[in-house]
Amino acid sequence: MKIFILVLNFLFISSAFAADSSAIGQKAQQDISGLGETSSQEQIPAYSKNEADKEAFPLNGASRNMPLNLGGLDNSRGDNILAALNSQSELKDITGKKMDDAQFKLFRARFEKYLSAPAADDKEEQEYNQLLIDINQRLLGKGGGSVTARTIDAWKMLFKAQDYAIDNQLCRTIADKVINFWQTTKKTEYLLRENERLERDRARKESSMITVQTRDRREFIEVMRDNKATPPPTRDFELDPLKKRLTETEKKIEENKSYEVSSRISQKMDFQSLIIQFFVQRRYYHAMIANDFYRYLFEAEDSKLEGLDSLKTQVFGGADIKLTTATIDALCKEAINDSNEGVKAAEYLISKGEIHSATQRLMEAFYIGENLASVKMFPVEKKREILRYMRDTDKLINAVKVKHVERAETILNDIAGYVSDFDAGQIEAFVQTSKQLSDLALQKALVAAQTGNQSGVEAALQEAVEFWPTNPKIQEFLKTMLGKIDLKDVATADFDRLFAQKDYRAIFNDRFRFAAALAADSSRNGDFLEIMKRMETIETSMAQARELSRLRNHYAAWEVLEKVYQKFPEDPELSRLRSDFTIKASLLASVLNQASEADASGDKWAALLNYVKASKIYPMSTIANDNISQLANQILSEKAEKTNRN
Amino acid sequence: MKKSVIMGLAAIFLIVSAFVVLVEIKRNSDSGLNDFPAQAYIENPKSFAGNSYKLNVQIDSQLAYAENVGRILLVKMLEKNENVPVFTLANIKNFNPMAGQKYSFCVKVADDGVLNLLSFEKL
Repeated sequence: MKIFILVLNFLFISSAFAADSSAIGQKAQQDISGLGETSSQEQIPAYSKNEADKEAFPLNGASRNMPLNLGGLDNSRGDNILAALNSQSELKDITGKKMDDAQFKLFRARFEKYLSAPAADDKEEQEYNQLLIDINQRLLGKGGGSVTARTIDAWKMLFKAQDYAIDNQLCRTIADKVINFWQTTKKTEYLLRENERLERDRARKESSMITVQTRDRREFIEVMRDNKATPPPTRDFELDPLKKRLTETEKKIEENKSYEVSSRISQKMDFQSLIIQFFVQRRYYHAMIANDFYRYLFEAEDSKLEGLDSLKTQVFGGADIKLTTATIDALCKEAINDSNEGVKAAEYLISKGEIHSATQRLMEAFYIGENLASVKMFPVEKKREILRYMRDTDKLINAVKVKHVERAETILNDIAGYVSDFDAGQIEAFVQTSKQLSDLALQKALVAAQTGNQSGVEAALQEAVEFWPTNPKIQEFLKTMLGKIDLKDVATADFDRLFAQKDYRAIFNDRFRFAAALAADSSRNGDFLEIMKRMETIETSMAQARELSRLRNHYAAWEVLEKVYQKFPEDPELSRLRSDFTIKASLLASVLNQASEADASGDKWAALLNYVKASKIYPMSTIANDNISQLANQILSEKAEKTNRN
Repeated sequence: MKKSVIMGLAAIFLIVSAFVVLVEIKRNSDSGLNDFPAQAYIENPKSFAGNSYKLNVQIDSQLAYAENVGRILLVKMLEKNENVPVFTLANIKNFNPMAGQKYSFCVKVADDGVLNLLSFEKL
């Protein structure tokens, strides 16, 4: 059986683009393109080792160094998972290796097409199948009669079989080959008769030539005996036409013989090719029928099949075995039997809910006997169950490949719901370990963030993403981090702008944002604190002024504001409030203003007079009182200097 | 009798009145100074430079003092509700002002508008 599968595998692949299969092969390619996004192509990375794969999995390099083995699975590619899930793991090529990508893509596409197609019509399929069996049986001797009679009967039955659409005119091809054989045989017989005639003609010509030569010889002897001086002329003029015709006759005979031999060999090779073609197309009944015709048409001849030396070497190694028509016959029968058994096993397994095993059995049966009635008539609802399972495993593989852990879990639960023999252990371990390792990496990122280790954060985040890219905690972490980074950047930029504009009020109004953002900014925090102190003074004075004004002490209120205003004239709020209160304390303000102007102009006595006046207006005026004392001392100092100079 | 009494009283009244008038005339003729225009002075002190005035004041406080130079007193004008500073030289003898004391100051406005105390009389 193993040998048989190996043979089939080789033939299946090699026949993909041959004759009838060429169209199927092209269709299969189209199917691959069509199904690529959802099924076939998704399988490719599991088995490909090329560079394209590496591009598709950029994290592979890092993943190979992951600390844990994720439940025994290679987290980076999920090859083992794919192998565990994949139903084609049993199918191996001629050298015992698993199918390569191209082989599996082709096979997978055809198998999915088969699963998607409705079951063949039972009655027609059975009738056709029975007819093929009858043809086979008739050739083997069922119904009695001479070899010729049985051959002709079977040949006639081929025309009945060709009427079935499912036959694809294959029986007609066999019938045509038989006719061709008969026609060639008839022509050969004619040539044989022609050769016999030519042989007789040649004999006559040789006889005539001998007669002429004998006469010549006799005349020559007579001349020599009579001692005649001059010998008589030869009779070559009579001999030459005879020689020429004899040569032509011999050439024709050779041509006819050569044609007979070559046409016989050509016929044999043609028939052998047909047998092999049917075999590789997995048209086992057709192969057996063609085989039987061959044996009867070329009876008593060597039954060795030519052109299969490379196959024989690969399958049987160095063993000295002849691949004959009998070998093909045996292989065909085993294939039919094995495929039928596989179908029965698949049906039984599906009835027990063992879809995983059923998929493998049906895949094997399809692989061996795609065109057999048992495979074709497999119930469509059961095929749909297998197709559903295959698509779910495809989804699961994709989820594992991209490490979409939640999706893998969901699909895994779905599959476990209707597949009783699905081994979810490895994938469950993969899911859980991925989650744990991703969370662990996030913890590392958090610690790194707290210590201000930016590169550590990046490395840990990358690790977390590699284990579980869709981990929701990653999004939360990033959102928090990005928010912080953005706030800080924006706040710093705002602070610099407002500071340059001396808009300390705006900074004060947004002091909580700036305080948070600039707490660790040593270059700006000093300025920020200075602004806060300044604004605290302003705000306190404004509050104090409002309270004094409420008590109708407008002079005091104005004075409080005026003193702060002299220090911080740029604050708009303070300026506005001072203006308001200046109106209410206009008398005092006016006098103090005059005093200030006089002082500024150097007229200290006039300034003193006005400050005294102001003090008279508002005896509690600290501005006036302070300046009075100060100016009085200055005036005395100036007088002292003047006295000393004099 | 009555007539002589009335005539006698009238004569006394006239004598007293004449005495008062004479005394007043005497007092005014002694100072020879005008009233101090406090408001105008405060507004523009230099415009009164060279003028002398007599002020009846009450000492409010001493604003500053410098040895060998003098002091600046803040005084309250008794007739007017105004305060003005007055500079007194250190060499004015027997001048020991205290807050609340009332004086009659004879002052002169200097070039720089400063009210300089020329003489004083305790009231």
